[in-house]
Amino acid sequence: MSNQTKKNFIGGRDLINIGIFTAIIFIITMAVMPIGFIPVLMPLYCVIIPVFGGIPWMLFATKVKKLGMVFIMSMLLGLLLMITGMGWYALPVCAVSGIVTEIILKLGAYKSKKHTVIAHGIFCTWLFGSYIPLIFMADAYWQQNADYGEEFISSAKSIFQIWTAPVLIALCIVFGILGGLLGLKIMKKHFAKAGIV
Amino acid sequence: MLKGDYGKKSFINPITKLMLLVTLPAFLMGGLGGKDAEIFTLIFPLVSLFLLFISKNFKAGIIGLLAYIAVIIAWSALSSGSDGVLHIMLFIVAGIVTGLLPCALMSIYVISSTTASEFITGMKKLFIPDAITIPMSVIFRFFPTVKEEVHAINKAMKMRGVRFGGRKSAGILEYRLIPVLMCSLKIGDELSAAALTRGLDSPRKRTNVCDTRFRIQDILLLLLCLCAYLVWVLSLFGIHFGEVVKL
Repeated sequence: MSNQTKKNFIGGRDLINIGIFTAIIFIITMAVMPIGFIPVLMPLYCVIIPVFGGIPWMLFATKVKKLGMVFIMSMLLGLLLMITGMGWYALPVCAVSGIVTEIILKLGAYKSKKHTVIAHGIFCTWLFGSYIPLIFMADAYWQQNADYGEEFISSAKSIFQIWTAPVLIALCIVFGILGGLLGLKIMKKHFAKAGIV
Repeated sequence: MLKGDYGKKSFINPITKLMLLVTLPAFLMGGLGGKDAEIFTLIFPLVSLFLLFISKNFKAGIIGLLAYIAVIIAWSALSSGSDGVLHIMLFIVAGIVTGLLPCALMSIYVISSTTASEFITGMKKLFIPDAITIPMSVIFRFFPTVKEEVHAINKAMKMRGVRFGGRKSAGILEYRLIPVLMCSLKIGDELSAAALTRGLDSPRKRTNVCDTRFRIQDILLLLLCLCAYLVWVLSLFGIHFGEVVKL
């Protein structure tokens, strides 16, 4: 195997970087998750996580130079959602959002700042995976989780209807882009100065 | 995960650990099987406690046990008579302790008792590609490190007055997230260097000395998980476990 072909494939170093940034983004997610016990605040996942996640994302994007890294990260986040009990629904969503993000990054040749910020908006739609049972399988889901109490279920049902799906996705994208911009600003302020990027 | 303790053999096989790690949240937090699988919501927490005690992790085990007993008593005593705000408050605590706690305890057990090479060997046996295995092992190793770093950074920032209600409360996010990211990057670089010197990128097949045979305890636990899934699948087809027992 020549050096040239080797460079285009994902190596051990890239996989370790993927692991680290996936862990950071997932820790942010887990820190935000408890607000879901108040059903009215549940859609706020789509606001808080993309904004905070923008900072590690922009840093991760400087490490991404090869095709497939973002896709792997997206799938890992889906797997982690599955392990933490959100069901397998997130996996297909993560696959699609990962591929679209990858295409956007590729269009910017993995360098363009503009593409990276937009890509974060698309990437953040992975969060939508955890809402799928609440929206599309509401009756079955609440039947299984009947001990949440009447009040909780009725308020959650009134929030999560079919029309909330596009709203949630739009929230993810808009706040993902805002988070990306925030990340860009912070990168300039801290990481570029420290010579890390 | 990267514990580097090769002499000690852990009680169960990495594949069994993985199975438990996926199964517990599915039934305890995801609510698979609903009422039919209720018995498993009692068995699985016991399994995680048992494993913690057997791996001599007494601190986590005892805290978990006490929290679990206290909440179950409080829930059964108060839930019927109360409603409104108290009910919701109680529900939040009960939800965290009965759903999240056993899963968290299981993760603690898995993370503290599995070495990286055991984990990778187990995943290899399941034909999971490196692209998933390596980041996963990094993630599991990384959680405790980040916790430690966050703790240290929080202390330092408290001293500088960066806290809720402090003089610089506006900078909370910036002053806490960025140092964490900085040291994560550094840890990542060190980790890559260490892994590369051990031949991570080598095209040859890797060998290791881990013993990942199935033993009787693995088979029993795997059967338990399979039973839980069986109850769930049967309940999808309208056969309810509870009714079968009554018949």
